[in-house]
Amino acid sequence: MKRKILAAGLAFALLTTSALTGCSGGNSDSKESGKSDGEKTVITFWNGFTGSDGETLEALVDEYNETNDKNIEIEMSIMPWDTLYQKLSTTLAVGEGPDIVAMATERIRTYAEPGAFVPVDDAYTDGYIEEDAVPEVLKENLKYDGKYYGVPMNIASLLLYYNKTIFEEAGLDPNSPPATWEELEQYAQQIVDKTDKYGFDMAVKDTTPMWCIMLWGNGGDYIQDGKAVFNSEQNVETITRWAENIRDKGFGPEVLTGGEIDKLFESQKLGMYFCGPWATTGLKNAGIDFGVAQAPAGPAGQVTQANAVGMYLTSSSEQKEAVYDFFRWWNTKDTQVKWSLGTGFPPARTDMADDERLKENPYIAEFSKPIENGSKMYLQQLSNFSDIDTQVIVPAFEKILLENADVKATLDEANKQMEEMIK
Amino acid sequence: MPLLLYRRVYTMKKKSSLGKARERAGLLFVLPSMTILTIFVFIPLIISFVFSFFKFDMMFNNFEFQKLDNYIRLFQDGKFFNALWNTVYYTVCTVPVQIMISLIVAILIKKQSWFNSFCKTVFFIPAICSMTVISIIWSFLINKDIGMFSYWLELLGFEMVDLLNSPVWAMPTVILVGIWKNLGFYMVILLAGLNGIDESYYEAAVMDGAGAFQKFRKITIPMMMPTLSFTVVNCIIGSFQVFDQVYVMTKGGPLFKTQTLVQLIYSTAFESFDMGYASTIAVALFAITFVVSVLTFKHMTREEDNIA
Repeated sequence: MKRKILAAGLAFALLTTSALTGCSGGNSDSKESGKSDGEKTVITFWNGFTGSDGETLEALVDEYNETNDKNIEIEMSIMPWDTLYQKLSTTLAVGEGPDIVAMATERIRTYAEPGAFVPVDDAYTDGYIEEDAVPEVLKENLKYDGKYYGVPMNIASLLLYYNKTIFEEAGLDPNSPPATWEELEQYAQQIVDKTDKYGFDMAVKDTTPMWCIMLWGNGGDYIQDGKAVFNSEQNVETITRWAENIRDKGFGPEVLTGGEIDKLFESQKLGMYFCGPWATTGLKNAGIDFGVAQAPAGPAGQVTQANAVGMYLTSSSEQKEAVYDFFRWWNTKDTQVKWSLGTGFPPARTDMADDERLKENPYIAEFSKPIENGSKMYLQQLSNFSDIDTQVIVPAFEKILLENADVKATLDEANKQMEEMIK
Repeated sequence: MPLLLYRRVYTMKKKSSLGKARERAGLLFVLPSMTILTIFVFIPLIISFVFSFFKFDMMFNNFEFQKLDNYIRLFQDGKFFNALWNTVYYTVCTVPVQIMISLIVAILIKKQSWFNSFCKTVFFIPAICSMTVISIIWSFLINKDIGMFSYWLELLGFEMVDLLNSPVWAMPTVILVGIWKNLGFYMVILLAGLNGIDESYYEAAVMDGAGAFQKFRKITIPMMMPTLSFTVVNCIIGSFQVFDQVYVMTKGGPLFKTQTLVQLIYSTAFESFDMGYASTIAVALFAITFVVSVLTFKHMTREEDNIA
């Protein structure tokens, strides 16, 4: 009897764990890649859209599979980004990778340099992609060494999200978000003083970059014309100011990951933070009364961070034409409208600002604004983006925020490391 | 593990006079697992040893023979020594605490009863759960701002430290989660060892007037020596290879304070795409683990022999 209870318990435990872990297994039959199934051309497509945008993407891919007249079938595998990078490095080398990969543009050179991605200039010259419609900020960053290696998949900008309930609680006008750094500081201070909530924060690691908005807002940068400028006077000033705000004035927890800061805002414990369009749907569904505003202007003007995911043709693919057809279809106005409305992302085309269909979601226009004008992209065109980000920049911020390290000395040291790495 | 097996087989062979035919039958029995080991362990081991002398890119092109440069780099690499230190820190804290707690729990729930069986099941559940899931759950529970534990502490009037973002507390937290997860696994092995001790030893000891502690010291420990040496060596090897909970809970941070050797290998190979140097670190880890386990095993078996 006892044994039976034990066995039943273990069986139950096994069941729950397998249910919990079950979602981690990805579909990896890459062997079918590029082989025609009867008349069908099967294209494999890997990406990391594990969030709610994945559902929209899946629906769109299904639609493409049903409607395209070339008998092409996209076989898509969605997996976490880090799993994707790991799988790519082992499959591409032996020619077993997917036909199409989607990932952030800052990683292009890492894959283009050793030849894992192949140039797609002809997708532009042969009219699959309308080059004129590609946002200017994105164009340069889809290239490496003067050649296009990718086509647009999505583009996003960061805006200031603010919680209107917390604003009211702190005695602030929920309809006038801060427009300058001074106002941002004042509002955050007021929230901290008058409520038990945090005022404003920026995530440091495993996140879409947020601190860069401040650095650029004061005229600083990380790398300029191939030289590291991380320890510039402006950056020392900017980081000193905002580190003091966050760490000493208690605007928010010192070091957060992207996931943590999202949760903090979702649970209504944080008044303001920077985030991309992907958060709107979730926050709306959670019944949170929030608004979005353009990033507050710094001393050097108003700027925000834009980031984009591109689609790339890999060296494993033997189905260029079919891949290009999907690239074309994805970048048509109709598909972009569906993607935008489904996810809240602005369309990756510049000629759709007046599209009536997009007015259904008011956020789209807000997030589109900076893409036209007033946004920069973080650490593009590097062969070792991930190393510079995780081994130099993130630790520098951690040192300053967690250990109260001297800003100038920390940035000097980081700058030296950065110089070594971009040589 | 293989060492342990070898030793058992070897002693068996010495004691019983197996004929040639039976020996051949024995080899036949190990053939399936040997095949799998060869393909998935021994060959990759040799390949990564070869790789450790090269530099090559993500596509496995442009192989450059580095002579001993990768190894020289290793000995000058602050990151390697940082990771080595963290790994040793992890191991030195984990192994004794893990074995001790597991042993105590095993002794406490040794007696057959409804309640003990229930406890066994409960303690064993984490052991069969995926480390990733456990790490995610724990990260949530102890999160300073939205965690359940922080909320409880707040109710009691304490303030939670942001454990995983603290350079001081991140490692102990990771260690505790590791111990919590593996408790059930080691408990079951130790229970099996405990149940293998014949009650008559204890009865005899009681007749001689031995107390609880003496029974533990003079009977339980010596009789458990083979099981203990297995669990200790196993635990050391496991600790040297710690990766999942660090990767999920801290990604090696903050400030590289929880970056362990396997994590360093992972990030060198799959984030920096420096496969050659990653193999060099892997070879170093292999050497270190090998030496430490052999020494431990020798020491423990000597104890065993002394007692026997």
